Amino acid sequence: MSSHREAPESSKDPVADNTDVYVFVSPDRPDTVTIITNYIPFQNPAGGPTFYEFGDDVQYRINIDNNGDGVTDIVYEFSFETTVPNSESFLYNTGPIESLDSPNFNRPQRYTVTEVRGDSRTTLGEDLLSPPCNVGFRSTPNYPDLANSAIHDLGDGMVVFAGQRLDGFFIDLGSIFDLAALRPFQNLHLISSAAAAGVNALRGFNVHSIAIQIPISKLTADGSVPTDPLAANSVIGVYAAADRQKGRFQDETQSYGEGPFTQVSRLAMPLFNEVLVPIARKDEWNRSDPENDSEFAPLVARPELANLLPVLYPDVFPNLAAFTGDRADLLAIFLTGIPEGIVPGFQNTTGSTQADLMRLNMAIPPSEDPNVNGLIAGDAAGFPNGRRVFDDIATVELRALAGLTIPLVDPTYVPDEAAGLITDGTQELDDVSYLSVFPYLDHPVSGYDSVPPSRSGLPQGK
Amino acid sequence: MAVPITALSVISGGSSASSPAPIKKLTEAEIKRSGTGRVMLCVHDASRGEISILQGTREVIVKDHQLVAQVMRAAGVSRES
Repeated sequence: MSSHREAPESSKDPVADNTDVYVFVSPDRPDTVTIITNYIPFQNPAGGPTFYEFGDDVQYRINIDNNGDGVTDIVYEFSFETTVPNSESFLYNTGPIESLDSPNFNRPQRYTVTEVRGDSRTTLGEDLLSPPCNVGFRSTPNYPDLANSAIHDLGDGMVVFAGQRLDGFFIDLGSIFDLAALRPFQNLHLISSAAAAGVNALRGFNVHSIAIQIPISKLTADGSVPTDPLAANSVIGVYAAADRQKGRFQDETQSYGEGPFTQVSRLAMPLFNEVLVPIARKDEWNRSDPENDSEFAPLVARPELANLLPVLYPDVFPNLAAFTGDRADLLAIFLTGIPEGIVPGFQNTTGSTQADLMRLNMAIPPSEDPNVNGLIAGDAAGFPNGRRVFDDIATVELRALAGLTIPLVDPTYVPDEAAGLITDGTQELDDVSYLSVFPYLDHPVSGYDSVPPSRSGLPQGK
Repeated sequence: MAVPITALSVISGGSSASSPAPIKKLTEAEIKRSGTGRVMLCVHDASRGEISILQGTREVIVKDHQLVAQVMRAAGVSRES
């Protein structure tokens, strides 16, 4: 998946497990950029009585590089504080929660948003309330209205939301992690079975999102609003992170932390740590900074999955199997951005510093007719120019890894026919919904309405 | 290894031959300034003689072989098993 449970340590620490990052020019407010970062994967909506919440002991960060050196220039920090108004009750809520400050809500979370620019720290908002999880129609009636009331105005054109959402990512995990099988093409797999439709393994699961909308003028190094996509200041690089304090102590009644916060999870480009970094180094990668990612560049230049595809799908990827060079296309997509001259009228490079960042060219307006396959389908407003909530990054990255993007840097290479066709089959399912306005990820499924996975699952071979 | 500060009370009397002066107790003002009053110490590698002191959101790394020795002995590492 994008980065759900992608590393040994983060898989054991869900509240600090950064699962997806979205960065895009806001379609309904094109003078702003929306950044969304998700945590706490695979939320079964019925997972009470202690429903999901951000960690009071975690510091969440959105980091922005606006001058191409891979080093963070602007940080938005989010820290949470949870209270228990009725300490005598075991209940998450003691009655219907009809407003954010309802006395019936027994586990409210408040948070502070801080902007950091160099040594300057500015509190943008404090005591901001998160909505409760979507429990059910008795506990959280009118959930959309309740959640929408948790969209807070930070002033200066900025808005923020932090709370539970429907996970907008879609992918066939059950098949992909079964030896990289893609159900629509599994008849061609080394261990073959009949081709079948994809299954979205994230369907109906919730996640916790931090979403912030920021005027473009606040993100550029010179305060301008770029209109020329080829101008250097039109591109920003973004990554999200979660930090924990260095020291943690468990005593008889509580646990507490001491010391400075240190990064335990990070994420920018989807699937970077998940697919490109070997399992023995995933925790190290999570704790390292993007500016040092040249250390991981060989893993991008010679990706393990690109070597496996011809083995797992015999005779399907002969050209990929014969390609022996470094993958300059992937190095650009993942680590530097795509330079001018590769895609006409487009670039999203941040220079030569190799850093895993989600790069967005802010001078490219939102697409009026978006294509979920983004740039490889001619939609420059989509992934990997940033990432919109509905972009099918799994298909795009699978096709890139399969060699579809090699001709961008090596015109003599002819991609295998399959490279332009492969998909996990979830794009066609249309079983994920989104909002057309901030925070764009849809309201979460309620616990009452959720349907657990079938015990019997799908018939074997499907 | 991490050692809670309370473990250091066994060496706070200043009786160590290597300690030139008695260690004074913290003043009330100092205790008040310490916030929660909690401090964590961590010796990552005793051979380096470094001790990491975590308090609030700060970390101070002190290089002091004698202090590390005191901490390690207070933790019982020198006892015969």
